[in-house]
Amino acid sequence: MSVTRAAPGREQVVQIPPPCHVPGPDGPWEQVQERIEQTGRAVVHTTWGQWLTPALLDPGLRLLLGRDWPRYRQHPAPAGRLCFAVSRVVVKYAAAAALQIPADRLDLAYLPGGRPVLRGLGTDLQVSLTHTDELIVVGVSRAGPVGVDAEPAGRPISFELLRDHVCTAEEAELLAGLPEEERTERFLRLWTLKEAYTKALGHGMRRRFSALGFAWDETGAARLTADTAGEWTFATHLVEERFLVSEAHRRDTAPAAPGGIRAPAAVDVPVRLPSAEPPQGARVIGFPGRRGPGKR
Amino acid sequence: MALTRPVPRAGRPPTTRTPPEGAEPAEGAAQYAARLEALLGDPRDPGNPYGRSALWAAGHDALPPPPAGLPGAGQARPAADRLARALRPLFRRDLALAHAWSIRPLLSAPVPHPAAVLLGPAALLAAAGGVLRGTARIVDDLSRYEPATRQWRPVLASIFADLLACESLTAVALRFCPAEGPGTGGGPTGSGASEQSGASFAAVVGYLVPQLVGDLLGDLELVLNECGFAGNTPERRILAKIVRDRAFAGVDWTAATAAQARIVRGLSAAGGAWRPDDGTELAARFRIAEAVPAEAPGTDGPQAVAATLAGATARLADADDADTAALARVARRLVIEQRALRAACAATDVHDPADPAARALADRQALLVLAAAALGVREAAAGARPSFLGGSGWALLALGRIAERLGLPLPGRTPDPQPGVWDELARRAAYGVDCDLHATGLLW
Repeated sequence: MSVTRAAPGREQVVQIPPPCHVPGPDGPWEQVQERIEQTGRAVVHTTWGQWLTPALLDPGLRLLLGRDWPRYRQHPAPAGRLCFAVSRVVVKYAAAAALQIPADRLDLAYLPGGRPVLRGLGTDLQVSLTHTDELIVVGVSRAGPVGVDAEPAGRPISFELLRDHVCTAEEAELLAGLPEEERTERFLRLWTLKEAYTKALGHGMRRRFSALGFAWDETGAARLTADTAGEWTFATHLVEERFLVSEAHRRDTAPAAPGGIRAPAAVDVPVRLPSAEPPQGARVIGFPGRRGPGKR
Repeated sequence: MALTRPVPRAGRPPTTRTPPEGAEPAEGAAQYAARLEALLGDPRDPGNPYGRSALWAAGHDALPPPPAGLPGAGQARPAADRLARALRPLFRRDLALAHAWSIRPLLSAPVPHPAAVLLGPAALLAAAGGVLRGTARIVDDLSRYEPATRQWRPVLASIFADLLACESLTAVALRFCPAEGPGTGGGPTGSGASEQSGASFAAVVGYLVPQLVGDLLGDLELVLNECGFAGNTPERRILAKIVRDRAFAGVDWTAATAAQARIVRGLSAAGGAWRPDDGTELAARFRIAEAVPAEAPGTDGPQAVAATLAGATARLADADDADTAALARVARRLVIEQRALRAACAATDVHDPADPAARALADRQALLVLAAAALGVREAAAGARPSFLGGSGWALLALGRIAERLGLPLPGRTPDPQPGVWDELARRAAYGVDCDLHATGLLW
């Protein structure tokens, strides 16, 4: 069951469900597969401590890590080494769940620049990985590029120092008018959204964040101002009660399913919330000045 | 129709060696291309039906008819590589137009030209090269007074190296095409083995080129965007049109997966008997400036080209310049990878195109063929004028990126070839020279 919960008082009901919590290689993966079938994408979160023992005790770890095995073995810091291995294992298991195949049939590769890809699968299945502290988040998509980013919700961050780097003029003006605590929280959300978007594009931090404008609709949902065609969807969730997780997804036409693997249904079908969700259901964190009437 | 600027190298024959006596003259293709480019007119002229504005507005349903003087399918049947070179101005101009005028008719003619399936990837490369040239010119101009813009030079140099590697692969594949189509019985090069060889190569090109160029177009969009060119600028619209036209021209991911399935079906053979090539048998296939030799190629073109990797690497030994020595080190990593891949392919009797593991093997196989083609073309051009194609810089950059895609760690002490590759790209952008293997001078 997901431990995701929305921040009190700032949530808006939306169609994008929170990331699925998967505590180990054995799953449960049904919710991930259900979301893949319904929307073409799913986001998984866990902590590397939860996966550590089963991952390291797996006699097939070397095969599973493949070309990442030397990097794992040569990683200079013990904690970083374990997180590196576990995060790659989570990517493979999440992708394997999406395709409903064994994880060791997949080869995780990297494009020049570092973007992770599943070798040979092209746009048939795209992945994104982020980790911060002990949290690991993986996005998988059979219906267009996906990007995920996470930060500790309480991370100290200087708006004054970073505003010109992260914000457009409009965003900076909006944030500047907020109380400091709320501004920091909103600023962090904006940052993770831009990270998720540029990771979905495969550009990462090479793309200037201050040239990417985000706006918020009356429900508090984020949208990219340049995305006039409405191709992109964004969401931010509070996960494990202390991590902000943002995801970005471009809704491409689903490709033909390779090898008999069923293609996802139309990607615009509203997501039915699994019954295992917490009572408050799927919620995202809103943004100041763009909420519905009576919300502020 | 007035020219808008002097032509730096117009009408010159291609670079390296003199064609053998009796061979089809390369000048014919170059001259045809120059005539075609003139017929297409200035792409920046808003009144030109073949200009950028008109083609953007035409979409896929209202493309203009070809100008008088453009031969249709079934009229002339030049060798495949000459055909691609002759049509290059059309490929550069517009991907959708290239498909409608030439590629589709050649594919659907009663006797399809054997090169037809390779022309889509060739057109995609030519179109992407045009965007690269324009973007390089922008970055070069801006970086004179905005130093931060120089950060994009290595990105563009890498794109150029990747394009040259893909151009090498496509050129070699075209030189494996039989001169006649199936059923025409046209002499020794019309054999079934030759047709099979060309088809195998078409699968590698058809899988790899759309995928790699797709990535490169994404990088070009990034550079243009970061240089202040928003989505409504002509530069971005040209780029967006190529992205949009890929499905129309059959060079998108859907087409690539079909090609990939054909590579997968040949993986067992790739793990079979192995005969390293000593460099003499296929050397003529890499000499892109010469006519294709008359003898039939081997039964499997990609395998034959991949087999040249070890020999070409060995001949790089004892290099006395840093770039070539580094190229040898990177190439050796690829040779080791090739051995591992061969063992992996041989481990399974029948590979299933639906199996992600088999698709990963196909990807590795295609990347190694790409590396072998780039190395072979570089070696064949060594010592020729102009010297860029025969130099090691671009090949080192391209093979380093192939190694990176394969997940192979790069050897230490590798010099950075990007500045030299950027210099060549900036020169071509400034003087109106195509990003092709021949460094063809452009009219417009």
